[in-house]
Amino acid sequence: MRAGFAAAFAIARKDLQTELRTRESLTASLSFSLVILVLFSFAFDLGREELYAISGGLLWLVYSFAGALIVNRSFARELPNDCLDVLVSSPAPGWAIFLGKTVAAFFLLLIVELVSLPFFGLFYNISWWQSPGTLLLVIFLATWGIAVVGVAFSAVTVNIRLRELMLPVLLYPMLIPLLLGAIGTTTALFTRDPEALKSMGSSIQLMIVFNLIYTSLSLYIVEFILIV
Amino acid sequence: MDPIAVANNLRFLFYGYTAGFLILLIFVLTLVSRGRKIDSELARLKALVEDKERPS
Amino acid sequence: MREKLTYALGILGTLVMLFNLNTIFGDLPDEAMQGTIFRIIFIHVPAAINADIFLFAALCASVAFLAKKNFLYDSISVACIEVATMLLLLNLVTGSIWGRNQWGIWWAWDLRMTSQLMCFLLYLGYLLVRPAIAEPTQRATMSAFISIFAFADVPLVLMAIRLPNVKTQHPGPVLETGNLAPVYQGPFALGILALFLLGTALVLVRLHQETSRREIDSLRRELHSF
Repeated sequence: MRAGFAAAFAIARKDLQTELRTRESLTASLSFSLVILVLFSFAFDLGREELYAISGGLLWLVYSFAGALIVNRSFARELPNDCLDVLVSSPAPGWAIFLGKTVAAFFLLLIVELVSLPFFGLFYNISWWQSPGTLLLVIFLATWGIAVVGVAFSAVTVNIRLRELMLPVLLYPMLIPLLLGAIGTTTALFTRDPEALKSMGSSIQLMIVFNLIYTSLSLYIVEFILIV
Repeated sequence: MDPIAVANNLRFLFYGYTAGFLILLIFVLTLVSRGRKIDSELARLKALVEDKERPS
Repeated sequence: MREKLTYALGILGTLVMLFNLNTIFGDLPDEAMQGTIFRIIFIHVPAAINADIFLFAALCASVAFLAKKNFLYDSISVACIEVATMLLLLNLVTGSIWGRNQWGIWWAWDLRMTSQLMCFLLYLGYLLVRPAIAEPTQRATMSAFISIFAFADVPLVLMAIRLPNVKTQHPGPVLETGNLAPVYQGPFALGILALFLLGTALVLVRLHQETSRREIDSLRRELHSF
């Protein structure tokens, strides 16, 4: 068990280090999310009230698009030079590999989100800093969910030719409960609508349950799907 | 209930059941046509394999 | 044997359905609030229930495939999911028509409907992705994975429906609240049974096709080796 966690930590560190050095998916994902933010501002010409009403949805659409780019690379990064075969045949258990990859994807996505959040506030004149603690909690929960499900998909699709096409087709519908929770709470936090703020607890619960189910399921199932 | 609503109700009930049975029917038909295709392909391949196995 | 069973199930299912339709349209009184349109419930809800039954069967088959790596389980899983997806579509379409009549709109984005649509889209994705993967082991593993992950969404969706800030237009689930009047319970149960028998027959047909397809693949390989 302890060896597994050590291996997971090593893999996460390796992934983060290579990504921070090459900045392959990081720059791509970041610039992509900024481009979408700009595009959305052209697409919707809204008043202040309306903008606040859809702010959560806007933000999480951008984040989930950016997330697909990040998780897509998660296992694909190991394909050149047969690194994946080495990883799978190493003494590290499957769940440790998965956990390490997920943690790395989580932090990468978090970087993208935290960098693009001020731009979001700037472009759309939304005061997002009113309750930073709760917002951070929501971002943590939803980002972990996107990372877990995304990396699991990345693991099964890694050897498939049409990987880039398949991932979004299957990933987004599966993330709907999580995104619903995240969008609801984020909009409530931006608009400060007292009614919405009151019912935030159950949305956060939903996100927690989503994360628990998919994290445990992925950790357990990855052993069976990685050996392909 | 007023008679217009009653007539409308009946119409939509008809639409609903028609749509339901159409979906079932189309599914069964695609299943049958695909089954035919698979069967003929299987027969063709079996004949080919037998042909090749026969010493010529 | 298999063929006979398929025909027997199909014919029995059709007979039960015809008998049931006779009762539904001939003997049952109109519902007080909705009038005659309520009769859609006898095809709308059984479709949903049977879809869930077949999806659960597919889930079990998928787990069995990952554990045993026997391709029969993969075939069972596809067969069940294909029939279930068709039933989900049936459920959505009949529901939409009912909604147009009762609410005046074809579609409301309430969570019950959104979740059902999401379920449909997920399994449609499963069916669309399958042919794109050429290698049989990869295809089966990927399919099992999607099937298990998609099914895990079901309880979450049920939970999401109960969120207090979610407004719902959809009538409460009759089975949970027990609001279905006793006269309607018999035809309701028969409706479920009829679609279950028909569905099982279709699953058997589809299962046979999948086995033939695997046979075709192996024959092709054999031909290449000559």
